[in-house]
Amino acid sequence: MFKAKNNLVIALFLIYILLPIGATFLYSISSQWQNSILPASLTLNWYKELLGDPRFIAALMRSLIVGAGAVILGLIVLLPAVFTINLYYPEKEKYVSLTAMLPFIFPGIMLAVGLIRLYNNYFSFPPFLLLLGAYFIIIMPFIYQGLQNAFKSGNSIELFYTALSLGASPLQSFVYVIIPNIITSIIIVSLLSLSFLMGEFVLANLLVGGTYETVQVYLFKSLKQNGHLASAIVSFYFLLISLISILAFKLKDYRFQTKAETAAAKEFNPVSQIKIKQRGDLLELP
Amino acid sequence: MSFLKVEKISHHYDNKPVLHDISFSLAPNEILSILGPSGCGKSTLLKIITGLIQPANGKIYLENRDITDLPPQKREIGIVFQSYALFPNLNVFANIAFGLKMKKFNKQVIQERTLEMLNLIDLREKAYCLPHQLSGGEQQRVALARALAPYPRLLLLDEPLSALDAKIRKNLRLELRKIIKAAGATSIFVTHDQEEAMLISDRILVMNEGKIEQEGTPEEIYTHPRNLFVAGFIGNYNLFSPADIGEIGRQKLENTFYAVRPETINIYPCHEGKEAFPLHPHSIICKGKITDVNMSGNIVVYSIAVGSSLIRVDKLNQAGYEYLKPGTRVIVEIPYQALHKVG
Amino acid sequence: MAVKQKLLYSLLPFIILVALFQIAPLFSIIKDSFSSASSGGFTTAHYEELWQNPFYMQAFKNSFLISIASSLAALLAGIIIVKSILGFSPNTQEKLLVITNMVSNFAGVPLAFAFIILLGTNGLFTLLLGQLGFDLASRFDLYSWRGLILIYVYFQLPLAVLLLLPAMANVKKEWREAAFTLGANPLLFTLKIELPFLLPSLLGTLSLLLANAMGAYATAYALAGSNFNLITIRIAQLIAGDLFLNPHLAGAMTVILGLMLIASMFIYQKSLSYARRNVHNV
Repeated sequence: MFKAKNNLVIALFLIYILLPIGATFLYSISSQWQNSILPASLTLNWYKELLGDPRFIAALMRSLIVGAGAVILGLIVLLPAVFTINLYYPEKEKYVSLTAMLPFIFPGIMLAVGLIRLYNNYFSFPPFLLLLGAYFIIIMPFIYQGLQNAFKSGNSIELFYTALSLGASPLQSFVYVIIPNIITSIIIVSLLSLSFLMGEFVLANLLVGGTYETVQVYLFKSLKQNGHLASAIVSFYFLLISLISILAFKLKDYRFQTKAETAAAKEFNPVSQIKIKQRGDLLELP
Repeated sequence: MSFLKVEKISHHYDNKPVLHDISFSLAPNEILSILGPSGCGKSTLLKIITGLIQPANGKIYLENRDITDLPPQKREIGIVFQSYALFPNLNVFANIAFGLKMKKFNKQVIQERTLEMLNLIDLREKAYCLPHQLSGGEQQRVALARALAPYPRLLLLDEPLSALDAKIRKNLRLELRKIIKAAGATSIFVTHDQEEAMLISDRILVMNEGKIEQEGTPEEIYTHPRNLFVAGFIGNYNLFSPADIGEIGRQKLENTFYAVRPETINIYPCHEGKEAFPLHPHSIICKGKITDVNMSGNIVVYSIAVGSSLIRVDKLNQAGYEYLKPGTRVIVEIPYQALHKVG
Repeated sequence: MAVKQKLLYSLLPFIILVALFQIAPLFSIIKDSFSSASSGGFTTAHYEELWQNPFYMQAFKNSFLISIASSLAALLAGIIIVKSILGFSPNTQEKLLVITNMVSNFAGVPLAFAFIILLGTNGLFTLLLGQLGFDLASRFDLYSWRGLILIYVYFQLPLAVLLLLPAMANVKKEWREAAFTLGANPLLFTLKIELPFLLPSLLGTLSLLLANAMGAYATAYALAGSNFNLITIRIAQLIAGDLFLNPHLAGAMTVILGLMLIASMFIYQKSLSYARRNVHNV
């Protein structure tokens, strides 16, 4: 009885959230579809046309470049900041956290207003750099929170102290110990930020618009021209961000299988115990 | 000559004092326990010795060299944390070899020393395992081996057994002492467990509220607690206020607290009767009633009501020992010798 | 000590980027909103203009109403959905969570387009119903407020589910059992235990959804250009439109929008810490 009710609710929920996506996909693979219940015939021509369109490929590349650029910039800037704050100034964490969370409060449209006035009207700023800076800001909360959580849950502080006590310099400890310990979280947060940026329209359209056409701006322009082509773009985009977020989810429970672990699986039997004693020279440092 | 000398260390967080004028020293190859309740400042003291925190005042000398301003990576002080902090991405071998690698020993030496350490902790067969594939006890031993490998001048252990369950903890205590002694490391062992401190260390420093309450061998601390805090913290002392003593002993002793170890008190069953016992030249003798009996492994723990006080008495549970039932009336004998003035 | 101070420099890039791309723009908006277009001197004229202009007041009212409506609808539906999700095995829960997470990224322009494909004048659903003799177009117009609310609910719902799930998972089965053994019935349990426990989380979710809807721009813009009279659409038009640019007025609107968002984020933060304290005490 309860089970049936649960099933029904979830079924309705899934239909509601998947129907628009499914319809878009169906539209993207139909050659002609007007005034009939089902499409006239199925085709992959729209995808062929799309992937053969240099303007689309260019827009996609621009989105990936500015998105990946912002993610990398975010990591380069925030990793040392999170590290310093946690290890040396934990009492100031709340202020840094508040600052990093600001973009979470103020949406893209507000940022766009300020940036346009400041960097289009008063100073002129290269469009790519302007978008890069804005994108850095809007993903800052995700990256900061992700790194902060990884730092807290991974026992990074004691690992760092231990490495120091073993004679490693702070930089060595950071590179050999902290980074490998939080690398999974770094990858996950990077992937999620990238897929978020791939869907960004407000800043891309208002700040740089035609001068740096991203995939969202390109999609917006094709809406009015060809519905089939636009639906192919939407399907392609959704597939892309879905793959990225599935990958991120899979990584969550994934430990990087190191050479050491593979070796352990092979070597762990009673016979090899004797071998290790004899073959001391085989013990390699990773 | 002392190996480590800690001189008048004081520290505070946000104007709240956590350490007050701490001074002590350590002889070569000695294992010293710092024993105290959580929040007594022992962890801060440990961090100051490692160099992770700079003390507000005071000096630290290691082998007669002032190391107070030296960064942690230059101090050659090994540390074992409660969480072990094994590097999760490195296997056991690489964890142990890490310090040697950082100190740029040649490859041959690294191999030999790491194998030596693996033998010492008896985990040769797990050399290629990653930390998450080890049990808690194994992880703890690896953490110890890792800290010992690069020949540290001093080894610090911060509650290294607290994360283990009771049974493994008991087995590992003596094992830990054996390994440390075999490696010949001068060590400081921080714990809140008095039993652990007694078993592992050569000397104990009892700390409370940022101050040292007492310093001595395990035996001294156990048999002669200097004050009320130490007596309360160590063992299961019966603590008597001046009023309690007046009531139990029917006489006035010095106006101070007394501590009595539960195993030094004798009890004998007796019959109903209102007559008072004559004062005895060597003992306090009084009447009481058993309110509770608990078996605690090899000892039987009696709770005995004498007037308004409750006295704990421990008896060895030898073969054939017939223990007394709750409600039994007993004569309680406390030798004057067993009374320790505290506070 | 020296190392500690040196490491402080590692915060410098962070501080510079935030100053350039977050703090400076915010200040420039505030400054614009209080400075005269002609003389540049201090003025509150832009705020007065907003207050006296029914068109802009309407935009605030519309934004507020659509936010409230879509947030409440998403919250209520979200509660029912999360309750059902929690009835499934952890494995299924995880799968549903992944799907929800994926769909939560599906917003803005692609979302508006997907709805046009489905429910627009020539939409699949519209055609389908038309073939069955039902004239959807006469009863439902995607480009109307009702249509917009439907789309807003669509992008609010996954967010509501993602926010409610961890909070509602904290309601332990044991509480229900304990309450029943003490003689409570399901309704009493919900009213006396579940609801008071969840109230901070529900309030927090609602305020976050409100903020999310208030700041939304791309969906409505992609659906009907500047036709919907919403705050964000008006702001964009005043700052980057084709007709009448007025950055000062845009600034004043943005400041007011910002204050509203700060207020809802404040409520969110407070509810969150209250909810956390609740969980810790259990």
